[in-house]
Amino acid sequence: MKKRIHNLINKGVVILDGATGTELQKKGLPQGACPEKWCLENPAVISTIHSEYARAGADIIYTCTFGANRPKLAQYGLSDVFRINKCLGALAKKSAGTKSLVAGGIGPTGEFVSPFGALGFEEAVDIFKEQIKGLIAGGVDLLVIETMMDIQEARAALLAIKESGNLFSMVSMTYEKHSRTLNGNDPVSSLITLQNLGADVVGCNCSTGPKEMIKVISLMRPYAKVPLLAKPNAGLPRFVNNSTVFNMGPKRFAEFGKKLVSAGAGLVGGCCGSGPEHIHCLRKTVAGSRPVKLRKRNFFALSCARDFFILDDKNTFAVVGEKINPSGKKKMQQELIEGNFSIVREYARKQASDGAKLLDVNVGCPGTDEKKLMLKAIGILSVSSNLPLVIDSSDPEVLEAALRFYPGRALINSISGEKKKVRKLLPLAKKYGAMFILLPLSGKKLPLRFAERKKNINNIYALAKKEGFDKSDIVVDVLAMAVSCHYFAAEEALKTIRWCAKVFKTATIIGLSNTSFGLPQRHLINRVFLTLARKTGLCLAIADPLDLKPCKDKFVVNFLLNKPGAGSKFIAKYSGFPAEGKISKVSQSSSQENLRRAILEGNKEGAAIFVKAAMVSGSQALRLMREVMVPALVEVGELFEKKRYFLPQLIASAEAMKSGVKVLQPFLKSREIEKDRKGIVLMATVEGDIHDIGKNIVSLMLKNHGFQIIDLGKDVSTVKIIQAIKRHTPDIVALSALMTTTMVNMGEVVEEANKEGLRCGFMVGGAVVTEAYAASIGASYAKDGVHAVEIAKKLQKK
Amino acid sequence: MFKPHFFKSISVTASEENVYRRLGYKPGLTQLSSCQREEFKSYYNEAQEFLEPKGVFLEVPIKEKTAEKIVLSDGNSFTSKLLVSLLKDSGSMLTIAATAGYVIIEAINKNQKDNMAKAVVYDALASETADVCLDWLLQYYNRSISRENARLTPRRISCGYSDFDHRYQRVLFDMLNLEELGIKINANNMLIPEKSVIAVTGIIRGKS
Ligand code: B12
Repeated sequence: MKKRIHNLINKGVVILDGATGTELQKKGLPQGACPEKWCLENPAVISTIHSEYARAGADIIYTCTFGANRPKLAQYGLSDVFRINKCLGALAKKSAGTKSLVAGGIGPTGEFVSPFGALGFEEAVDIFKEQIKGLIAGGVDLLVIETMMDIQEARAALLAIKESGNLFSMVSMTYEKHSRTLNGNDPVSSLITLQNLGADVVGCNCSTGPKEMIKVISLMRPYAKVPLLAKPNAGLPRFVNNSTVFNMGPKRFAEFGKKLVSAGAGLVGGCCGSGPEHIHCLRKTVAGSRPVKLRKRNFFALSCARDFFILDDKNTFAVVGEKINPSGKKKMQQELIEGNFSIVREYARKQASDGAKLLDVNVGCPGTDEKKLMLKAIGILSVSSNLPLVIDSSDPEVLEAALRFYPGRALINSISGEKKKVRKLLPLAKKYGAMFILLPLSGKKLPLRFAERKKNINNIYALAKKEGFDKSDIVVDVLAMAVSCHYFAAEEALKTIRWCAKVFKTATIIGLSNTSFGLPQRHLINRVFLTLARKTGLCLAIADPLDLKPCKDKFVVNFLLNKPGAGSKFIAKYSGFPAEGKISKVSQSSSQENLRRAILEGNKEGAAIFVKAAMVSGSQALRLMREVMVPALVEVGELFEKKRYFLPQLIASAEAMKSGVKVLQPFLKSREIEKDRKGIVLMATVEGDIHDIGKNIVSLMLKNHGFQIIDLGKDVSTVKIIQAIKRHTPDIVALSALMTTTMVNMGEVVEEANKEGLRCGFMVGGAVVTEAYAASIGASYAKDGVHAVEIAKKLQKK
Repeated sequence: MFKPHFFKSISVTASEENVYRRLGYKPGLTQLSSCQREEFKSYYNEAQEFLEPKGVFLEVPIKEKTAEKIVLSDGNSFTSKLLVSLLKDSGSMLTIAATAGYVIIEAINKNQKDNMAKAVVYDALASETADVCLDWLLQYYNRSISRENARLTPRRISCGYSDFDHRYQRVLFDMLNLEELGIKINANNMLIPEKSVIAVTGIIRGKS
């Protein structure tokens, strides 16, 4: 049967059927009823729909079993999964006639699968197996997994098919308008994952109309090794008069069908809103057209759930982050033993931002269950990182569990010629569609010279080829060894790289830091060696991405390109304060203007530099503060009021002021400081409230204007606030609250303070606080940091 | 039969513009130098890595409606005119919750010490992400019921709004079993981590 379907696809464009759900609704499926159950009770209706599609020219008809899995049926109180699938499968077979094939339809369970949702992966596989068993018993010719939003669920279903026999399988995902599924899976990553896991056809259905689907097919086409399927809705769904409508007529729909074929689809049909008429028109319009040729050759591609990595002419080199490996890292070992993954997460984040394109994951750590840790690490990294993983373990059992669970196409690190292991690992890699790093070892002895390595590579590859791999599935580890032990080590590695690139034609990888082991200036050696290796044709390096970062210092670049403000930032970064001699050349007025601008632009480093510059060029500290800095800050406040500045700008300026004041402080005479000093403000976010960023902003603003702040933090009880008032005798107590439920505690504080006869001003603010509420408790109100300064000054005067 | 559906990693990106709008950015009015624009953009970009958006939804049929009260089939009831008006055409209530996670809160707190501007951009991004997650959950749910000729009410509300008392936060918290997502609730019914939110909406089944 598999062959027959392949032949059918090779002959020309294959027509699939249209919607079942919307057709059933037209023919009387009551609102809220279970479609599968209703079809079994009204077999004539579904039978008619199937035969209408067959007559309209559909080569393949889907069974009405979209929701016939255990969790979905359970929503209707049904549990006889096998029987329902068997009957509906058989019914479709009977109605389809002799010309059309029947695909057993498998839809989502309604839950995302681990690590993205709560449904366990093996549980999901079992749920699908149960359904598949019924469909096979019903006599379906092939299976189709459709409308998947979660790649992990699609994988679970596909594995269930593969483990249920040798059936032809099609998998179609449902992409939203922005060409990602709701779980964020993009078409190319999904394609790479699914076609390597063994799907015979990959594609998309539902969600959007045919127009939007053209883009999805075009994205996949350059990477498709298997035929592509497109089953769009008849236009975008709209809800009119309490009813969902799809308003694309059959003719227009069919026109788009043609475009989908030109874009690369080899199988086309319809989803929601399309009926037999749409399929009939589609058949007529695309009849005789040949699908576009697909990529025949295999290629180097890895994927994770939400991204992919392809090595090709444009993308010739990448770094594999090496840090997620506990060996030699005490803290990480300790964390793993405790089942804590924060360092793993942190390393993933850091390496990605430093430029790694793949992440090596090794969690082998004495005294732990490696398999359990590996699965947990994969779960966490699949969710928190968008880099494909290199699964690094020497234990075949760990590797198998990891490959099964990993929601993408992984790279195995590694498979060597060790007899027992290679026999186990190659079939595993094949089953899960993984790529692998070929480690050219045959026994315990290290092949020091290129000739031995070449022999080993050829031998291991011969075994892999038998298993169905080709050279694009492999990356050869060229074995970097310490130059300090073998002076020729680098040379032999380079020879191996050259041979792999030019003659054998496989990608290569190197564990970079081995080379410099035991030598001084390791980073320098690593960098130089990598330069040589890349020139020779190296594709991947397992390395600390920081070691390789080309130098593009943004301060220097901006400075040279004369970007606004870059000059002062550059000086601040590299020379600390400017040398006195140089400053004397700068006039007093220009350094004051620079200082004003630094505050207006929120340039912290600049503000510090120009305060110093202004002082060196003869400014007087107090005047600088009063005549330049404070007015600049007031100007910022005005800009904020006029909405010319938004909050981050206001704050950046406040911080620039703060850094300027810090430099100015030693120049101010204590008498002057005293004179300019405002009162003490006691700040707190009241009890029950955990939101304190608003309060902290206000506190920063007040500080800048000379207030002394005592911050009690958040969720502070009335008792604590009263105690603090007694201890610090502040001029003002400033309280913050986000919610009406916590706001009432402000009233309590004021009341208690009054009761105890404590004399101070009260100022309140926060999301729900209003002028009226403030007045009602006998406090002043300020809506933001700028106003808070005004109000505080007024309260101080009183 | 009606149990919460958890999503342990939701793929959403809050738009940069919406984050800035939260911070008072007015397109056409607010003036940003290219240097500051770059600076804030870099905050926005780097903070993405600290987000761990998660969410859950739960559908529960409505057993009874009065002018002021909604009683659900699980026995929980809510007295609120706002809620009654929201659910006037609905047979079921959909409750959703989302969080931006703990890591971003740590990052916000860390930055408040020496880079407050960065902290507020992080803060607004986290708030926006929690909101966008709620939208995602609605979109997901809408997708899963579209084949059933059903849809959601266009609006969603949260307790704490108008007469929908904030105390119901705890009832909804328990219904959704939010602990499964690592979310906690304090004595004042505030959710922890801070960037977490619960909302409700109605499910309207169409005519067949
Ligand atoms: C962003 C936001 C969220 C975010 C983040 C919340 C957070 N805690 O970080 C999310 C989406 C997660 C959220 C969730 C919730 N939210 Co909310 N949220 C908001 C919103 C839109 C902005 C708050 C904010 O972060 N502002 C930015 C910061 C920087 O400003 P700020 O803190 O207000 O501080 C400024 C001023 O207020 C003032 N200020 C602050 N303190 C002080 C102190 C003094 C002395 C002075 C002078 C001035 C001052 O100056 C500051 C700087 O400018 C407000 C509405 C609004 N417009 O304010 C609703 C709002 C606060 N939320 C509300 C509600 C109901 C909730 C939820 C309970 C909803 C729910 N049922 O789940 C949850 C609770 C969350 C929890 N952890 O328990 C309601 C509260 C109503 C009420 N009855 O109390 C509001 C008012 C919305 C509304 N219209 O009803 N929310």
